[in-house]
Amino acid sequence: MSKQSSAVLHVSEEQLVTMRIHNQLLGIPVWEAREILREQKITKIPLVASEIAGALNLRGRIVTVIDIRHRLQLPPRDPSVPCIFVVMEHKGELYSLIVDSVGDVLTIPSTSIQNAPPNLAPNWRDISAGVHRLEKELLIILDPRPLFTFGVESD
Amino acid sequence: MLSHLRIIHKLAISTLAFMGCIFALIYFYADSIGSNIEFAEKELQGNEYQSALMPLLYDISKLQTQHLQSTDTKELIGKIELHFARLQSTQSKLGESLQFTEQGLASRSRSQLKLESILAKWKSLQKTTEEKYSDQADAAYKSLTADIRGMVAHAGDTSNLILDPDLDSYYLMDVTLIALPQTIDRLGQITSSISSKTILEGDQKTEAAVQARMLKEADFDRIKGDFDTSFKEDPNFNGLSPSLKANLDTPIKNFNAAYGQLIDQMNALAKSGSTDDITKATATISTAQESANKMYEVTVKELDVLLQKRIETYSGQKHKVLAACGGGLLLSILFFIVVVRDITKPLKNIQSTMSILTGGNIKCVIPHTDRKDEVGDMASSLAIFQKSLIESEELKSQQEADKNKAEQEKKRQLAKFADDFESSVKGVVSQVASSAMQMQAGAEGVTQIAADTKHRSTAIVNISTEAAQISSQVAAAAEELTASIKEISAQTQKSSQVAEEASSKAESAKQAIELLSEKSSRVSEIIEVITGIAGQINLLALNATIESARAGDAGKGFAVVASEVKNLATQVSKATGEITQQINEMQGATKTSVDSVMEILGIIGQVSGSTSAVAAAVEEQSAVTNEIAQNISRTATGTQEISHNMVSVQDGAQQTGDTANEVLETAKNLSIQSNTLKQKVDEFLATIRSA
Repeated sequence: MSKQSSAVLHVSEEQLVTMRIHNQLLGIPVWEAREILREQKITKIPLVASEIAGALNLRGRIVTVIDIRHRLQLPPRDPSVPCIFVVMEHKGELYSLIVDSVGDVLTIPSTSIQNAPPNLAPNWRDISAGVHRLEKELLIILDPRPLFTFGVESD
Repeated sequence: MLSHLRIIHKLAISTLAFMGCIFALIYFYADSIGSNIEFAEKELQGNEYQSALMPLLYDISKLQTQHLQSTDTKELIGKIELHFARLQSTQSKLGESLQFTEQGLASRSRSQLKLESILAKWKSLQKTTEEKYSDQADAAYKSLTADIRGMVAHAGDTSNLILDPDLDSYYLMDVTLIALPQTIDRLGQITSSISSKTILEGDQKTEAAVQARMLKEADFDRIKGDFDTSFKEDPNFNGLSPSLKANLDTPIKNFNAAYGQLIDQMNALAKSGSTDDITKATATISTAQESANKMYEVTVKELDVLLQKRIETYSGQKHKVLAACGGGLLLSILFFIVVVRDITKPLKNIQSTMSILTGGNIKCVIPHTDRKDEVGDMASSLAIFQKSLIESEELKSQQEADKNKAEQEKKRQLAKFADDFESSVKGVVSQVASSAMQMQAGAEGVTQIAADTKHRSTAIVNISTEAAQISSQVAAAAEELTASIKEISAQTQKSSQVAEEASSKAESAKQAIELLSEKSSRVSEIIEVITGIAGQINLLALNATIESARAGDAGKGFAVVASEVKNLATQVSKATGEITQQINEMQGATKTSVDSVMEILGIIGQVSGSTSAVAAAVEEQSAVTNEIAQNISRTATGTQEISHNMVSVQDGAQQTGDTANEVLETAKNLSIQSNTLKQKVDEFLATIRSA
C-alpha cells in the first residue's frame, strides 16, 4: 500500500538534497543519499584513480571517498575550509562525495526537470540527469552512477 | 466432441458400441443357425418331393412287370394316376422352391423333366399297356423311369439333400435318393429282360450273372453299408434317434432276405438258364421290389425324423444363443451400472473434495486414497496437491511472520534512531542550556565588577576632591610655612599616602576590567561551541529529512519535525551571531575602560612625584617658598584632571554595566530558547516513537 502511494509521489514530485561545489548548486534524488556527514578523517589508498580521495570507516563499513572536483576539472579544494561528505550506496558499496556545503531537501515537481542544456561542458553533462531552474540560479541534478566507474577515463 | 460428454455417457457409448458389435456377431451366428435350419427345412422339402416320386417309380416298375406278364393293369394304372395326382399337388406346393420350373430345370440341362412332358409320356405309355408288350413299350418304360429318377436326382440336388451335412441322415439320403431308385430301376430291367423268356442262353446267362453281381455289389452291399454307417453315426449327430433302428429293423430284415434269395436265384439262373429258375427269380423280384418299397417308405419317414430332430437341435441352439445373449445383455447392463457407480461416485467425491479444497478448507480429509485404480491415483495426487497447498500456506504464514518481524525490526531501528537522536540532541540541548547558564553567571559577574568599578571610581573622585581641598589648605598653610614646617611635612606625607592609595585602587579597577575581558572571551568560546552544535543539529536535521524521505509516507510526520528542528538550529545560529556582536561591543568598551584606568595610574604616578617634590621643597623651605604656590596650583590642576578622568572611568564602568546587562538578557533569552528546543525535541521523539 505504502509502496503504491510512494510510487505516485515519485511520479508527481521529486525530492532533491541540494549541495554546492565551487559555488555550483547541485542536487541528488533524496533516495540516492544515505547520510550526510561532517568532514571525516580519511585514509589515503595507494595506487588508485586520482579521483578517489581515500576511504573512511562509517560505523564499521568502508566508504570510498570521491573528490568530484577532479572529475569536473575544478581547482582542488582548500583543505583548511571544512567540507561535507554525502554518502550514497551503489551496488551494495558505500561511496561518499566531497562537497563544500549542503543545503535543504528541495521538493520540486517532476515536470519541471529539463534536459541538460547543450552548452553545458561535457564533463558536467556526463553526470547530469537534468536541470531545474530556480529563481536565481540553475540547479544541476546529479546522476551519481557514472561517478562510481573509475579509471576508465581518468587519465 | 468427447470432452463435452460426461464419463457416464462415454462409458455408455463405449459399452453400447461394444454390445452393438456383440449383437452383430450374435445376429450373424443366429443367422447362420437359421440358415442351417433353412437348409434342413429345404432337405425336408426334397424328402417330401422324392417321397412322392418313389411310389411312381415302384408302381411303374410293377406295371411293366404286369404288362410283361399280360395281367390286368387297370387297378395299378389307377394307383399310378393317384401317385401322379399327389406328385402334381406336391409340385404345386414345392415345385417353385425346388426349382422344378422351366428355368431351374434348363439350368441343369433337365428340360425334359417338366411335369407336363412326363405326364404326356405317362399318357402314351398308358396307351401301350392296352396292347401287347413291345420293344417300343419297353423303351417308353425305360424313358419314363429314367425321367422319374432324374426328377429324384433334381429334387436331391435342389433341396440340398445331396449335401446333407450329418452322416446318419446322409446315408439314409443315399439310400432313398440313389440306391433304392437305382435298385428298383435295376429290378425293372431284370424283369423286362428275363420274364418274357422261357430259358436263357449264352449272352443272356452272362447278363444274368452280371445283373446278380450288380444287385449284390451296387445295390445290396451299398444299402447295407449305408444303413450300417447310418446306425453307427446316428448317436454322433443330434443324438440317438430311438425310432430309427427300431422302425427300420423289420424292413431291412425283409429286404435282406428277399435280396439274398434273389441274388442266389439269379446266380443259379446264370448257371442253368432254366425256365424254373426264371419263374422263381421273377417271383422273388416282386418280393424284393415290395421289400425295397416298404423300406423306402420307412426310410423316408426316418429321414424326416432325423431332419426334424436336426431342426429342433438348431432351434434349441438358436434359443440358447438368444437366451445367453439376453442374459449377457442383462449382466453387462448390471456390470455397467456397477462400474459407472464405482467410477462416477468416487469421482464426484473427489470433485467435491476439490471444491472444498479450493473453498479454502485445505485440511479436509481426501477420500479413496486407498483405492488401487486411477481414481486412487487421482486421490493420491490430490493428497500430494493438498500437502503442497498446506506447505505453501505454512510458507505464506512464515513469510507473513518474517514480514512482521522485519517491520518490527524497522520500528525498533527507528526507535533506536530516536533514542540515539535523543541522547545526542538532548546532550547538546542541555549543553546549550548549561552554557547559557554559565554565560548568565559570567554576565552577572561582569555587572557586579562594573558596579564595583563605579563604586571605586566614585571613591577616587571623592579622594581627588579631598586632595584639592588639602592643596588649598597647603596654599593657605604656605603662608604660615615658617610657622609650621612639621605640619607641612605631615601634610605632604599624607598626600603621598593618598596617591599610593589611589594607585592601588586604580590597579584593582584595572584588574577587574581585565577579568571582565577574560570572561567575555570565555563567552565567545562558549558561543563558538554553540555555533558548532547548531551546525551539527542542522546536519542531523538534514539526515533526518533524508531518512524520512526514504521512509516514504511513513516518514512524512518525521520530515515536518525534522524541518522544525532545522529551523531551531538556524535560530540558534542567528542568536549566537547576535551574542557575538554584543560581546565584541562589550570587549571594545572594556578596552576603553582599561585605557582610561592606565591613564589614571600614570597621573597618580605623577601625583606621587609631585608629592615627593613638595617634600623636597619643604626641606628647602626658605629657598623655594615662591615655588610652593606654583606647585600647589599645579597639584590642584592635576587633582582636577584626576577628578575629570575619574568621571570618564565612571562612564566606562556604567557602559560596561549596561553591556553586561544586555548580555545577561540575551543569555536569559538563549536559556528560554534552549528550553523550547528541548520541548520540540521531546515532541519530535514522541512523534517518532508513536510512528
